[in-house]
Amino acid sequence: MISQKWIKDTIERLTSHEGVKGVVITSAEGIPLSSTLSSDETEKIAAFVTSIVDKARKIINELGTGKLNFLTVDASKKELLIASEKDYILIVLR
Amino acid sequence: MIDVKLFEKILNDLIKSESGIRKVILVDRTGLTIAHASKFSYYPVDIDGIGAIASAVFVASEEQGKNLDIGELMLVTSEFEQGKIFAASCGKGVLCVITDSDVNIGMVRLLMKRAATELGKVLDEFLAEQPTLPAAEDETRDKLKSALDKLEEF
Repeated sequence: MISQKWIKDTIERLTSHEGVKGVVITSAEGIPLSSTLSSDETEKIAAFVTSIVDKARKIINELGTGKLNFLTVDASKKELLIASEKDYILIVLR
Repeated sequence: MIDVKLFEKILNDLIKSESGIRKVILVDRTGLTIAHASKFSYYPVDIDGIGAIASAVFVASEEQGKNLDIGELMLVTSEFEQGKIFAASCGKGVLCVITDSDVNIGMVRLLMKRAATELGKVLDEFLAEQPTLPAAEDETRDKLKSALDKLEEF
């Protein structure tokens, strides 16, 4: 179960790393729980990343390769590091 | 002149953009259905009735917001065991979306906001249009005038 303290500590720890441009924590339903970005950007990232994670989970389930733990989206300008848990998704923009 | 099919196009784009969306209804604030789009369903559903209730719920919540002075109402979500109903403001209308229970809420909210902005503009333009009535012929006008005069005599 995630708490406010855990969210605060996690965001502080992640943003202290060099190159980290933002951190978003969202529920499995795509509702943002906490973020260091603007509300518009947070809403967009949470919605689309939840959609990717959902699709990735379905693929992994079909292939029978276990449980989805981590996902990386490497684009030309930014990199998205996505850690997926049962109840929440942790997203780091680098 | 606004093409009314534009409403259906926006609603169809919305319904296709997320797999969990079952129905999309555009209603005005009085509860009248303007346009709707649905995915195939075995069970017949009273679209007009659902749209009217969604509009009534939205307007009622809006009134609560006014009484509490907490600003404009953006979105109403009703969560059920086997589905969700979202209602969002779009200009002079209300956009109602019916989804499965396990839908990506964040995505639905985002898509609804985008569609509502687009629909709001089209709807305002559509409602601002003046209806063009056919010009009555002189003879008909004279007959109506004389009939009215007779009525006034009584």
